[in-house]
Amino acid sequence: MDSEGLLKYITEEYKDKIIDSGIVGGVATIEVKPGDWESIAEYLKGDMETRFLSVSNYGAVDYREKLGGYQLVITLFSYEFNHKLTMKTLLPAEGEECPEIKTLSAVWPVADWFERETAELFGIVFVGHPDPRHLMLDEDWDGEYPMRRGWSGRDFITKPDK
Amino acid sequence: MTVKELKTEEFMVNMGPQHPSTHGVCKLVIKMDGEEIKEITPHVGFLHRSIEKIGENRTYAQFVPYTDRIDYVASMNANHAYVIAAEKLGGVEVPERAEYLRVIMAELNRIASHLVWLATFAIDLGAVTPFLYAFREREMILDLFEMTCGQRLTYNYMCIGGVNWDIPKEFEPKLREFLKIFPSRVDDYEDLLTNNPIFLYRTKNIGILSKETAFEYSVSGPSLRGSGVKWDIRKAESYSIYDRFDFDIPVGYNGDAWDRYRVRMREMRESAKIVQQAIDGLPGGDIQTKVPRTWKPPEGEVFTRIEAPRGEMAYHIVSDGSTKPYRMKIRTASFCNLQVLPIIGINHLIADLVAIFGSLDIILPEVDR
Repeated sequence: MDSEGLLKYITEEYKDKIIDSGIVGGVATIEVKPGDWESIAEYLKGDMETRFLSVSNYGAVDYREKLGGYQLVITLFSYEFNHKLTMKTLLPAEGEECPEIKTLSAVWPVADWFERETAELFGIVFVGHPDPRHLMLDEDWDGEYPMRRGWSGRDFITKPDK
Repeated sequence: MTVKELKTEEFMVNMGPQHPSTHGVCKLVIKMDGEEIKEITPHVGFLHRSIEKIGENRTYAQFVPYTDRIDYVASMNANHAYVIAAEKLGGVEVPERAEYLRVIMAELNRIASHLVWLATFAIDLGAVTPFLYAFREREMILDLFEMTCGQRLTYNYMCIGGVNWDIPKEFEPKLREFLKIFPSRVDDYEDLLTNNPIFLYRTKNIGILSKETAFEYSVSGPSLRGSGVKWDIRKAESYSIYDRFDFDIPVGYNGDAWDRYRVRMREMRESAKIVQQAIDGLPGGDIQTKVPRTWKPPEGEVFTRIEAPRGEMAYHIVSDGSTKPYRMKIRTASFCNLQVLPIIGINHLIADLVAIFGSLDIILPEVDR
């Protein structure tokens, strides 16, 4: 299916779960509620019309200033039909709060590392993650989330004594 | 005391962080039962430079040299992935000549990258000769790059709107000379390895990656095609001008280390075919659309991906209309491909793990970014 056809099919099939949809940069994009995040992922993977067997990209955007939370963005694609879909959800959070969401690693095993990375860099808690250790950062790195907007690595540079 | 009464126990082995056959800084914690691997836990992040954060603090044009460092074995392809995303975001048109030059450079770099892989893969398995052969041909490609952009590893060749430098006039004869001899050189490598009994023994039925596992872990590139999936983004989405060239997608059958080896060997020949067609059809004209230094793309977001030598390299860029990206997420092939190692490496001997790791062609700066 092309992007329009895919978007039409998905918005009709799952219309009670989708809050917003459109085509962004040529890719069909839907937005769902954080509560439906895992269930709709399962549907999209199993649906014989979509067959999203793989994850192309999975990450977060810090939208605390603009929309009052973090947006999780996952791009799915299907080898079989050669189409892709971006699914988004907004996790409300303020200040230093760490929002929670259900993990997708049971649906797509590849989401495991993507979520570990997002968890440590943005401070998002993935509930039910099988291996919530740090991936990129040091084991005893704690309480600082480098990819949040406003965090600066400059604070960590130790200046030589004069 | 009989053998049955002998008490055995599992033990842990640390492979890395500094190990010659992990090709970068990667630590594998391996649970062993005698010589057999029972569990692998990869530890990555030793090369984490937070390139995504750097991207948020640099202007769009300033970020290009950083993309070289994401995959330093295939910098041209890493450049290409980024500039395509930025151009789509800002709606920048690229001159025809620049598109051709990009394809020539990207495919040459794909060959160079596969040659580095071949050399190190063979040397990991104890075959020293292919290393010398492969680096001899890689040198010819690096000479071509050097005469074009002055660099031999991190090229910073492509820019938003085109390429930074045109090719000098001695480039074309040198390239044609390379294309003339290269197929016979690939024959030489294949003579040394493909049906070599020792090589077959080390790679056949080792590290079998099934189609299903490959899909679940979003494995891409030659590692995926080795499992018999005919999937190449150059064909499936034909970014840039790849739809103008005639080339095949080599696929494997069993998904073992030997199949992945075969796919890469055949890919080198296909890439040489593309370069030949591109240099024959190279048009004249501009090499760059002028993009201002303080370039501001419109508000919005974009997701694009290309086929890098190791697989899918994708950029998700969010723009807020300022000179710097609001958010930049980089998806690299090795990040996903490394995740299958704990699955396909199990129940092999530790010596085979080296072959499996090599056959996946992981590059660690790409994993850690």
